[in-house]
Amino acid sequence: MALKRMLENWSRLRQQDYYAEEPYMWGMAIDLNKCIGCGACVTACYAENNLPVVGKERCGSGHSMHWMRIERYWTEPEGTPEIEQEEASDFPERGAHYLPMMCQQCNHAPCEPVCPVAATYHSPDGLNTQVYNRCVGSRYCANNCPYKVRYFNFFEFWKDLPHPLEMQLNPDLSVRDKGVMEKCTFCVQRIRAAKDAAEDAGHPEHVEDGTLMTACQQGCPTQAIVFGNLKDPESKVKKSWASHQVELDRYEQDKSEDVRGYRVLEELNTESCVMYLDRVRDTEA
Amino acid sequence: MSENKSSSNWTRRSFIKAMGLGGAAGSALVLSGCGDTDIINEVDIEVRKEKVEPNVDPQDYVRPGIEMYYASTCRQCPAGCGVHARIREGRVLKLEGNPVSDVNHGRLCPMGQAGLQSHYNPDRLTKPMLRKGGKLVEISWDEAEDVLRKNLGRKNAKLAWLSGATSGHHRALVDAYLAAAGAKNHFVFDTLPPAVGHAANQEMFGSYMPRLDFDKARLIVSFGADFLGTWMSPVQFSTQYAEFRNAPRGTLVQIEPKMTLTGANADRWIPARPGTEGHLALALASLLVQKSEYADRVPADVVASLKDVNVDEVAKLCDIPVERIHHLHHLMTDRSPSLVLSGASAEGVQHGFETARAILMLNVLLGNVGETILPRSEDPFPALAPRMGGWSEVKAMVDGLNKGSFDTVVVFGSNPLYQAPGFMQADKAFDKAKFRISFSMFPDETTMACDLVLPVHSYLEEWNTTMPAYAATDGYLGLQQPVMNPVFGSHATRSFGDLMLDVLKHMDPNFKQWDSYQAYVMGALWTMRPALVKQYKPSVPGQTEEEAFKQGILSDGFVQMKVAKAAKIEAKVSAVTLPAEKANANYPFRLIPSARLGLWDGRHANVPWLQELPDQLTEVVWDSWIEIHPKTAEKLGVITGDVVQVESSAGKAKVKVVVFPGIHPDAVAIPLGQGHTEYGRYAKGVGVNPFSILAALFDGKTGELATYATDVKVAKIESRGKLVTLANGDLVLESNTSTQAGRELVKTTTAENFDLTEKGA
Amino acid sequence: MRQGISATWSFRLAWTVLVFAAGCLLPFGAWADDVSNAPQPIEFPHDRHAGKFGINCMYCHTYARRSIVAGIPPVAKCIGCHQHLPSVRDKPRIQKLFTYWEQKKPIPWLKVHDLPDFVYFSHKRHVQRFIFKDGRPTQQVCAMCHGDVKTFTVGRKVKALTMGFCLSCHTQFQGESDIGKPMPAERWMSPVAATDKPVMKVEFPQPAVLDPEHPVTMKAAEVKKLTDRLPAEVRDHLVHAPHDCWQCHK
Repeated sequence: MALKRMLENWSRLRQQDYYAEEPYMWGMAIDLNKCIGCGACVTACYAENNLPVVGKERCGSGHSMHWMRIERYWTEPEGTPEIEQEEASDFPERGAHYLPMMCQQCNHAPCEPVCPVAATYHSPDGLNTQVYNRCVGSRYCANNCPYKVRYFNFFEFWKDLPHPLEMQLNPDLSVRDKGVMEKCTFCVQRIRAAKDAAEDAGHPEHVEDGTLMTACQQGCPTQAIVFGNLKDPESKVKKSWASHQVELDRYEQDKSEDVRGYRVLEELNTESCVMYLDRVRDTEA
Repeated sequence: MSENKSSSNWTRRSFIKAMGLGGAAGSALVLSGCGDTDIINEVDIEVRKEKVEPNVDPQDYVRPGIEMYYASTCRQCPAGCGVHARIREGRVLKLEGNPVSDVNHGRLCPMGQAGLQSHYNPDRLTKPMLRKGGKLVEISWDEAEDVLRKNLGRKNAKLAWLSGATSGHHRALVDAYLAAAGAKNHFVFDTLPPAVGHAANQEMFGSYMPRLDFDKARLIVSFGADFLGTWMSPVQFSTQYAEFRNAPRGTLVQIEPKMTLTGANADRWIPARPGTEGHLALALASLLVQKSEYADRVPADVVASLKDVNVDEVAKLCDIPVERIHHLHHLMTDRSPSLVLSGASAEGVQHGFETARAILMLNVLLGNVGETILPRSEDPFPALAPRMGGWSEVKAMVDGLNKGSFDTVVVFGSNPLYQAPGFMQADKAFDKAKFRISFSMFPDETTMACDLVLPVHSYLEEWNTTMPAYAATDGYLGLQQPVMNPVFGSHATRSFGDLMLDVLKHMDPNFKQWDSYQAYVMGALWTMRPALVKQYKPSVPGQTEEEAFKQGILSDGFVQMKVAKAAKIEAKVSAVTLPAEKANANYPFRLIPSARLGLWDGRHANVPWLQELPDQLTEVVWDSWIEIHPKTAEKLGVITGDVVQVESSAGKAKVKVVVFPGIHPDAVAIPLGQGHTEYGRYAKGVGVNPFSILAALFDGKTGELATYATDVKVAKIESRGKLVTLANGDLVLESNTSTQAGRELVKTTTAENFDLTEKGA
Repeated sequence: MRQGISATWSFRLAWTVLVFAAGCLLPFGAWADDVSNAPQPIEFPHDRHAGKFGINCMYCHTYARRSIVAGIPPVAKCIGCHQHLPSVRDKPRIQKLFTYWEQKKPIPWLKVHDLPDFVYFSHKRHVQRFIFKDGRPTQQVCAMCHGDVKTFTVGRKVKALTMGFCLSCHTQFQGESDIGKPMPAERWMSPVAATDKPVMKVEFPQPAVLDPEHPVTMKAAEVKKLTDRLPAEVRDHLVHAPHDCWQCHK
């Protein structure tokens, strides 16, 4: 049944003009040439999104609730010989490989069709939503996510929050109880507030580029993260996508070899809204 | 099958419903849609259960449902970044960087973000305490102020004052008090500011910290300066680093025994044997002076002193292939201007000052002075200038205490009982003082050993000014204002400024004109206004000059003082001689007490967000560990997770192993930050404190502790401890997740290609 | 019996929901929303302020037009008027008010219209739309959710304020076409009895998102394509169905 649903949906979603009429499609570009892996985005996310601190034991059981995490690798993927260590070295002489990883807001999200209660589905502005009050905690979605960016809330963390730490909680979004799935929302509360402000300003169909920043983007010391509306040809993120020849509605980009843009695990045809730019190393050094 | 069973299946659901988390829960499950209006009353259980209390008087900082931003200054480290605090209903919820601040350009590091959890920390002190009969007992503020006045409100040459890195009006106030009390001993102790590097800069460039232009440099060669993580002003350097990495892309070479965050981002990371950085610098210098265009930049005796350097021997000493040195020399001559930095691992040795000079000399040889190393102008108000302090000062204080030179000790913003190395026995020295006073937010080790404990406001609750440790523009003074009412109320904590001003008023009548520290700070700024770059004019009718000024500077979050044009920077170079490194047969490994962006030197160990932020290199959370190179680990027969005993001449510690490729095989590294014996629920009893086993070795010239000079031995005592890393979200016992398993997760391209394709972008 | 669960899944669900629903309804009565009898600290007469004197709601609830919450007035606001009204100064309610004022204590009002924490509702959007854009009378607009307050003393919850309640309006007032239309009186002039039934019974149809055959939410145009095949009366509700839960839940 699940497979049938998936196939039906995906075939429908594959239509090219699926999101053509909507004014917004939120997207991101992360420049790995600039990302230094410091973790400012991670802490900013904790502060903005009421993420619980789970403690050592639960981190060890894989119960961390970091919606955004920095992955660190020591080796190159196969097939990039010019960057690989020239000689067999005992040291990572080309430094580490950092990859900020959060929900990729896939337009063909593998998590969506498997939800038995439609708690996760696609919003018209291209967000992969997670509705906590619908969620029954089946965890099918997390198991189907190739990026492993969905985190299940196993405990009542809010109950353990000693006074006055609870005073920091952001009232713009829910404090989740146990039994629900959570994930990065592209700071939906900030998106909705920006849309609200745009409506007040009399142009509800247009959120000015740069007035809306996600928490991770705002904190990033090297401005490695760019966020904005992919439907706005003047937005920084759209320009970045265009100049790096990455387009939506593709599982394989028709781009020149030298251009840096790529989407992680694009070959799975998840149609994600986050573009990464290649890390760069000076091979002459 | 029975109804019983079926209902027991549903307890959790009903519970969620009762918690108000399942508005349409029942209906959602039967897929009958959200609009079912028949089941309604579950959500009504909250009616008339919660209170909603309006203010008695309307407050302009409380507008229900509307967020507001206040500008202030971060005090999580001495960098002094500007922040915008987001306020809702009178509570601070989020800190963002101040976009107009020249220090951080609207950005913030993890520690800056986590300032909220220092501010709202459940372990904050809320009552003054006095030692009675050997135990700290809570007392009233009236009594506490009486005791404070009795002990501080008199002439006392035997008073020692210990601050953390200090600047701005806190520093001015403390200095004013010490002058009034006739005390001369203001010690400043902070562990990470590079005191040795400052001294070397001062000698060579006539300024303890010249201005650095990262963006202009085409090549940065950093000898252990972790400028992206823990060096001086990480956010500011990160913003400059981002510019540096734009096309045409600059190249970063990092030379250090243990990979830092900066090393992890280097184009070439060179693991030099610990303590040999100076020799490497001299070898590079000797290669450079072979050409007259470089040699002409330094005096002839310096060139002559470099004649004897044998590059092949240095390569062996540093454990670097000799081709690497020649290649580095080639890079340096090829890419100009460049920037050579010296940092903690190079300076933290017994000949640290000489090492730093050898490294900085490369800048002179390469002609970087005046290009990427720029002059700084005199501070217009030296009384407000930052004082970073160092290990020599805490040593002087401990020595003074041991000699009985001091009877009263005051500690504010420093924690010597945790940070001072174990051999100094700061705790025993501390016991010798007759009366010890601590102004502190937290029950840290030093505070709990004091006789009078005064809980102070967090930096988000008080007025102050701060001058950053390093600012791109001269004359920058960050302002702090309370962004909310004190969390525990003003009956619980007090502002340090108010407490000291009160004491000072009784000693110096000049201070009677200010009834609060706020008035003192704002009054000082108001009198400083002719010296400021920006002028603030009334913008609304009826506003006075002074009101406009105050509103203007507070919404900016900082003031910019006029400074004289900086004089041309001139380097003074003299010959450097370095002693040969001696191997220690008993203690074969060099211990590196590595600092990390997060816990810093341990002051942020009580912040849960930062405890749970994985170490950037090893991805370990909530713990201490020792990093050992795979080759060494094989020799020692240990794997990740094993417990080893690390023993130096000064002490020993038990710690878990992380087998880590980014470290020289002769070095082992234990991160700073953990091993607190006090400091609240999140810090106490977690991990080990490497400060406690540092050996008594000092830099010959500056008298600073040689923190990177301790030799240790390592022996396995136990298999398989519990070590948690987020590398794969699980207990990692074998090794860290390191490969991309053939998937293209992080792709890499060459700088050549990058420069070619990104020029237009 | 564990293996039998999936087979009897729907039966159990139906049964449980039924029992649960009945259980909830029994003690309270159908729309007995104002469940707590806890008294307010002051028996504030909305009927005198809003009714007799016709004071605009937003005179006291000042934030309604610019914030997500309407705001309870600070005590100073009450005093601002009442210090000039000696005629009622001796009334026990007013004496109580002045006691709070003199002690500089906030009045501990009990919250009446309390939405669950996962619901985001913006007063501003609704007030801006209906009062300032459409030009409807303030009391009429507020009454859509708060009932006919000018007949109350202290505020009472007379509307369900459930999701179905929200949608019963949003199906009608979606889009721009209805601006300026007079609003039928029965939508806001609800009886004040505690057993106030919803004025319009909305048999809300399944939103497209819950179609078991097409479990992914579709955007409006997609929904339209699908629903054009449906009978007209069903279709009318369906095309207005909200297709973004994150508007109100986050």
